[in-house]
Amino acid sequence: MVLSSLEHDQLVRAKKHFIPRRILKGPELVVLWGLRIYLLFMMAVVVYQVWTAAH
Amino acid sequence: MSVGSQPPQTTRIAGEDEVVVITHEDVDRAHDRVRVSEARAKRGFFSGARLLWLLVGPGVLVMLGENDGPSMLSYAATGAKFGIGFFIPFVALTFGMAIVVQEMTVRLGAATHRGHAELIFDRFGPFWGWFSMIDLAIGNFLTLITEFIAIRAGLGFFGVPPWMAVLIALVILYAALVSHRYWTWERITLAAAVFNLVFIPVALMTHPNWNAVGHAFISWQPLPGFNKDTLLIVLADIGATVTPWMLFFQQSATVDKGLTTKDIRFGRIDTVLGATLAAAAAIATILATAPLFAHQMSADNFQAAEFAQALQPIIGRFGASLFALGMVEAGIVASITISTSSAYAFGEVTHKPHSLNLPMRQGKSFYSVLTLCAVAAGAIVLIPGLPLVYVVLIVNVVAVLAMPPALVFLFMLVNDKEIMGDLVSPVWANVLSGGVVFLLTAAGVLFGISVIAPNIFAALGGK
Repeated sequence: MVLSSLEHDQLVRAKKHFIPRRILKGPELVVLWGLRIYLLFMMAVVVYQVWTAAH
Repeated sequence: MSVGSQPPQTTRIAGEDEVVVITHEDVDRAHDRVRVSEARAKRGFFSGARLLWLLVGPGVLVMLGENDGPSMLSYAATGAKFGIGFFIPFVALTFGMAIVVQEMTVRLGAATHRGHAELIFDRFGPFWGWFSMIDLAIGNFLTLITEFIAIRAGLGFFGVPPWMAVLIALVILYAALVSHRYWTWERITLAAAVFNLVFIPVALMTHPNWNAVGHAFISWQPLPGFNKDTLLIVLADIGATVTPWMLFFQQSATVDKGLTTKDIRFGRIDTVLGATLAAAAAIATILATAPLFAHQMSADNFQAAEFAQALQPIIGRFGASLFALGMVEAGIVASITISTSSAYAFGEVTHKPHSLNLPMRQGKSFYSVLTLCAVAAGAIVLIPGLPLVYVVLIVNVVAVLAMPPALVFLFMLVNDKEIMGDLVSPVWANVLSGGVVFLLTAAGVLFGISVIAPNIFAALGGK
């Protein structure tokens, strides 16, 4: 019943196999790093805003 | 021997050497899939309705779950500060954005049968995977704290002491989990989530001016002034509809429910249905507090109980009680879905069992993370003198800021032909999701400017 109802890759055992890694290209890395820097900077802004509001 | 204590079974497939290990989780999921197959095999309206009933869940839960404590407070503050106008259609638009984003997670989950965190780790490696997990963990924990703040404040309206309010929330969270069945958990949580619609009768009790509502929808007028306060409300209302935990939750729940590519159409219906219900509750909350704007009442530092108290002279004790209960429900449902999203993500990246179909013995780490997140957040709101109001203020803003990086991962995964095959996003979906990323980033940049250089807003005519 289980094997006929579930697709092969829905079984818990099938999920133990890793999906192959993708090689990130230049523009993709630029976008990911750009957004990472954006997020870190904006978090610093939030901390500054909370700090000023608290004082 | 109970089902929960049964060891994994092994099955040999006829004609093949491979031995397939079948776990308790597989058996439970297969039972759910058999019911779906039976409903799909039949024709007629009732079979279609039954199929819909069996397949809805993750979409409605994620949308009503996101109508959480801080979100409902944002909508209440919007109504009290700006009344009926620009923000009514704006909030509807943000739910349109949420549909665009969440539909991608349905396709990803159904096509790959993998959770969002797992896919990011496998496809992009642990370096980017950990970044994404840290964003999720911080955002989820901050949001969970605000859920308990909403529960505490909502029950405080009825005189319930804070420790009792936290305990009640934890008991409800545990009660939803105790069956160790995804299906039962989903139905219990859905039943609780539907209570979010309590804001609709509350809005009706305030006798809204329907001509003004219709005019606002058509003309987006009256426009609010362009200043720092407006920008904060814009960000809070966006953060009230699209946040990173929603991506992780809906994809993992889609996988745990066992949806396949055949079910994507129903996954979309589920998502649109959830967004429609959530938008109705959100707009109702704005309408419910709009009389405070008409009475020029300052609601700058209002929490759930204060909004309910301020509304009491207008809608009576019963209406105010419904409003407070709505806040409690928003906090409870979100605390269930957000802690579940954290537990799914933890299991996916550590490759430990992660499913609501797991018996306690096999899913110790999954249930421990889920419970510990909720207990820790609940305990924090009981610390006397903690400036909880700041956490509520910033949590939606943090969600908006963390969204663009999360969306870019989603965008790359859903356009990855190797894992998605023919289910990659069509051009129109990429244009729409690209627009959402641009809008969120622009809103974040404007927020940054308003904090660092507030004089620029003054020069543009704001305050």
